[in-house]
Amino acid sequence: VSYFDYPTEEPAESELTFLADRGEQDWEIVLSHTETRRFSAGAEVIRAGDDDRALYLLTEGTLAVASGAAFRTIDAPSVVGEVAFLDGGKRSLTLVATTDGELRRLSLGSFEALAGRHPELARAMLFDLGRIVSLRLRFLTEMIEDGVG
Amino acid sequence: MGAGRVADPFPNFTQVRDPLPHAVWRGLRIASVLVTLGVCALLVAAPDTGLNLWWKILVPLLPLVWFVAPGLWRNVCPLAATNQIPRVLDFTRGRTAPAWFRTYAPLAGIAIFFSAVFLRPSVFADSGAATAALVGGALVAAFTGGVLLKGKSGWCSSLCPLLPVQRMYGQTPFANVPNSHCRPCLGCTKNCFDFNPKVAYLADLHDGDRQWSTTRKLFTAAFPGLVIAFFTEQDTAVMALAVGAAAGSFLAFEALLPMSTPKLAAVYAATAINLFYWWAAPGPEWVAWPLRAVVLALTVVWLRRTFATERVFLERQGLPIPPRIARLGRGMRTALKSTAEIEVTFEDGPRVVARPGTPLLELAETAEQPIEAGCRMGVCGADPVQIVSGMDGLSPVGSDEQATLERLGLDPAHNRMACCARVLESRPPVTVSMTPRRDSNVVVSIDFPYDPAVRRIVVLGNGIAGVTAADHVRRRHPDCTVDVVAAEPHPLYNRMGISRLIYGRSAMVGLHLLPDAWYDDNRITCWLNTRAQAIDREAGEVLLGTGERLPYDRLILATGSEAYVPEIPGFGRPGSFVLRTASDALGVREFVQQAGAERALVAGGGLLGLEAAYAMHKLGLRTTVLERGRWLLRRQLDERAGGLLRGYLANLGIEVLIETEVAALDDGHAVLADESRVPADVVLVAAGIEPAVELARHAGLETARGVLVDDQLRTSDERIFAAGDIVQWRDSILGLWPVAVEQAEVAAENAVGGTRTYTGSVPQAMLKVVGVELLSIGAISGPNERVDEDAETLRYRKLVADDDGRLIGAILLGHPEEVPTVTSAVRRSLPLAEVV
Repeated sequence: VSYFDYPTEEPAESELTFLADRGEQDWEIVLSHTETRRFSAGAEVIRAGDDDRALYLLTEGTLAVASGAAFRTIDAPSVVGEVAFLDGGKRSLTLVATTDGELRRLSLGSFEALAGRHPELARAMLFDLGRIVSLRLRFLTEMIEDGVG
Repeated sequence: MGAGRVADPFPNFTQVRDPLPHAVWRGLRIASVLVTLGVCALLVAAPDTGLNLWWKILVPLLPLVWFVAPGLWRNVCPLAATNQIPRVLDFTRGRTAPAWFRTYAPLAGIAIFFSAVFLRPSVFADSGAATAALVGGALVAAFTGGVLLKGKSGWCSSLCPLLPVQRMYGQTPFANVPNSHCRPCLGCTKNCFDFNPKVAYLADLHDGDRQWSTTRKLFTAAFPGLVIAFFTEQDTAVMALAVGAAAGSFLAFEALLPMSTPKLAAVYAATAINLFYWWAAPGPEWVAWPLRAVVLALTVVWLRRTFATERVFLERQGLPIPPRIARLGRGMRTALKSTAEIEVTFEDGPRVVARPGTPLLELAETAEQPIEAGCRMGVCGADPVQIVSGMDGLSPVGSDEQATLERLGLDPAHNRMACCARVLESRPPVTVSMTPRRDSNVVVSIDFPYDPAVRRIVVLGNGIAGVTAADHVRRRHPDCTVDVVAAEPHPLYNRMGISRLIYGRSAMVGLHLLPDAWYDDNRITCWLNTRAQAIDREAGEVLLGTGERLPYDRLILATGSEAYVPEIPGFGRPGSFVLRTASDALGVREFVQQAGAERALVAGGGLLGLEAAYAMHKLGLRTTVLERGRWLLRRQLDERAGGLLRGYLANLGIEVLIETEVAALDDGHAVLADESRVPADVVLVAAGIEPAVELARHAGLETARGVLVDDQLRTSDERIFAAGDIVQWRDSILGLWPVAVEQAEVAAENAVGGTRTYTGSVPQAMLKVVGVELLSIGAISGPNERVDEDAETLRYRKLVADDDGRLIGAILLGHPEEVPTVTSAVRRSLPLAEVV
C-alpha cells in the first residue's frame, strides 16, 4: 500500500497514461462507442467476482478500491478494469463510489464494433493497455527484487 | 445498492472536507504575517515586551497547537504564507528541488533548530533585535525558497526547522485539518506531511532508505534531552551531553524493550511535550497547573491513538499493493462533451445516460442486461420490459407494439416492447425492469360478427404466423376449438435469436416468446412435436403422425419454410449444417465443441448467413463467408453499403469472398466454384428459404414455389387459408416476421367468416449484425436516390423515391436514431424533399 500517490497536475505526461498521444478526434471515436453510466456516492460500481468483460473510463468522481483492509481511491480521469477486459476473467476488485460521478463503459462487443471501423485505433488501444499492464508487472518485479514485496 | 463503505484510516488532504472556505484561510494567513511583522517591530522597538510576548506566550503555545491540530498551524503559519506568496502571485520559478537539496535540506533544518535552541540563552533570550533577526531571516528564507522551488518544497517541507517537531508531535492529530495551500498538489515532497499527516511520520520511520528513517528517529530520540537541557542548563557542552544521553537511552531501550521503534518514539515525543509544559506553561500557577494536567491527559489519549494507528498501519503493510491506476490522455477531456441526455435506470442494474431517440433495447443490450432481441420492430415479442416509472419519457405505443403487448397479455400502461420504446428529449428519467408486470393476463376479445357454423379451427404451424393466427381467431370467435399442430418440440420461440444459441448468450428458454400459460389462457390446444401427415380435404380432417385425426371446419396453413440447400456433393457429412431451427443451432454448438473445430465456412451472405458467421466468430472460429452475388445482404443493401459492411467484417477478422459458392464438400475442406479449396471444419449453408409446401401439394392445393392464395389469403380450397412464409401472394414470398403477422391476422379473420383483404406489406428489416445497426425498408433502389455516406464510421443513408419524388424505400446503416422518422416517411410515401 502507498499513502503518497500525489495527484500530479499533468497526468498526461506520466507514463501510466492511456492513449496519451491521441487527440480529440480519436477520443471522440472511443467515447462514441461507449456507454455512459452514472453513479451515486456509496454505490458498488464494479463487483468482485462478476463476469463483466469491459473497459471502464472514469470521467468524473472518485471510486474506492476495497480489498480486505487495503484501500485506495481512484480519481477521474482514470482507466479502470483493464485486466478483466484483457483476460476475460472475473472482476478481481470491488469498487465503491465515494462521490457521485460518471463512467464510460466499453464492452468487448463495442470494442469489436470500434475495431471493425477503426482497426488502427483499436490496435493502438490494445497496445497501450498491454503497455500499462506490463509497466505494472515491471514495477512488481522490481519490488520483489528489492525484497519489498 | 447498500455497499459497505470502508473508511480510509489514512485519507490524504484531498479526501478530507475543508471546514473553512478558502477566502477565510487566506484572510487568516494575511493576518498571521501582519502579526508576525508587528511582533518583529515590537521586538526592536520595545524589546522587553516583545521578548516576553514572543518567548513566554507565543512560542509555548505552538507545541500544543501542533499536538492537537497540526493542519491548523500548517495553514496559517506566517512562514508558510510567505513561502507561498510567489506561487499565489504566480512569479515562482517552480523548479523541482535537486536531489542533494531533498536529502540535506531537512538535515539542515534540524541543525538550525538545535543551534537556535542551544544559542537561545546566550543570544536570543535577552536580545529583541537578535530574535527579530531570527524571525525576519526565516521569513526571507521561506520567501526565497518559494521563489525558486515548486510547491512547498523550498521551505515548509524541507528546510523549515520546526517541521521535524511538527511531524513528531502532529503524527496523530486530534483534528485533521486539511492542507489549504496546495491546490493542486504538485507532488513536490517525499512522505509529505501536508499531503497525508496521519501517516507521514510512520512512513518516515518505515522508509526503505536507512539514512532517511534513522535521522528522523534520532531527532525524536534526542528531543526530551534537548527540552531538559533547554530549561535547566546554560552551558552548551552540558546541553549537548543531555541531548546525547537522551538519544543513547533511546537506542538502549530500542534494543532491550519489547517495543517497536514507532511506539518508543511516540513515548519519547509524549515525554518531551510533558517536560516542555512542566517548565514552559505560561502565566501564574493557577493557569499553569491546569494546563499541565490537560497536556498530560491529552498525551495519554494521544499515545493510545498513536499505538492503534501503528497497528492499522502494520496490518496494511503486508497487503498487496493495489494496481497502479492509469490515467486517461488529455485528448479525452476535450472530446468529452455533454449532449442532451436522459437518464435511464435499470432495476438492479446500472443508471445509464441515453441520447434522445435511443430505444430501450439498444440501451439494455449495451448495458448487458438480460434481454433478448428479435425483429426489433415490436412484432415478435422478444423484449417486453416493465416501465417502473417515467412512461412519459418514452415514445408513444405504436399499433404493432400494441398488438404484440396484447398477444403477450401485458398491459401497455406498465409494459413496453423495448425495441419500440425510445427515450425522448427533455423528459423525466425512466426506470426499467427486465421483468414485465403481469397483473392479470389481459385476454383481448374483439366484438366480431363471426360465423357460428365455424366450430373447429386447426392451425398447422406454431411459428409467428401460426400463433398469431390462433390468437386472432380466439379474439374474434370465443367458442370454437383451436388446435395448433407443430412439428418442433418448442412453444413459439424467437427464431431470429437462434444464432445466439450457438455462442451461448441465450439458453433455449430465453428464446420463448410467450408466457407458459398462454395456450391455456386462450383455450388453444397445442400439439408440439407432432407431424401433420396429410390433409383429408374431403373429410375435413388433418391426419397426425401419431395416428390421430383432427377434424376442422377451417384450416390455416402456417408451416413456414425450410432451409434451402442447393445440390452440393458431400453435404450431409459430419460438420455440415443448415440454420433454421433451434435444434440446428444446438447441433452446431455441440459439433464445434466435440470436434474441436477451428475453421468455419458460411455459405450465403444474407441476414442469416451473417448472423451465423458472427456466432462462429464469437465461438472463436476463423470464419469465412461466401456470397454468390457481388455484395452482402443483397435483399437489404445496395452494392456500396454491402461493400462497406464487407470491409468492416474484414477488420473484425471475418473474411468475405464474393461471387463464389460451394461446389462440393470434402474432408475438412470446401471446394469452391473455381476449384480452390477452403479449409472448413464446419460448413453452414444459409442459402435462403424454401416454403414448406409438401403437405399442401399432396392435398392437391394449387402451389407454385409457395401455396397460391387470393387477396383474402384463401387457398384453392375455400375452407383452407394460409399465412406466413408458405404464402405466395401475387408472386411474392417475403419471408419476414412483420409480413407473417399481418397475413396471419387477415387469414384468421377470414377463417371465422370475415372478408378482409390483404393489400401487401412494405418489406422491412431492422437488425443489428455484428454491432452494426441496419434498417432496410421498401425499395433499395429507384429512379430518385439520395445518398449520404461516411465510410470512416460505417454510416450510410440512402433514401429512394419514385418518379414523382415520393419516398418508396430507404437503407440506414449506423443511423439508429433516424429509424422511426424514416420508417414512417416511407410508409406514408412522403416527398423526398420533406424528409431531407
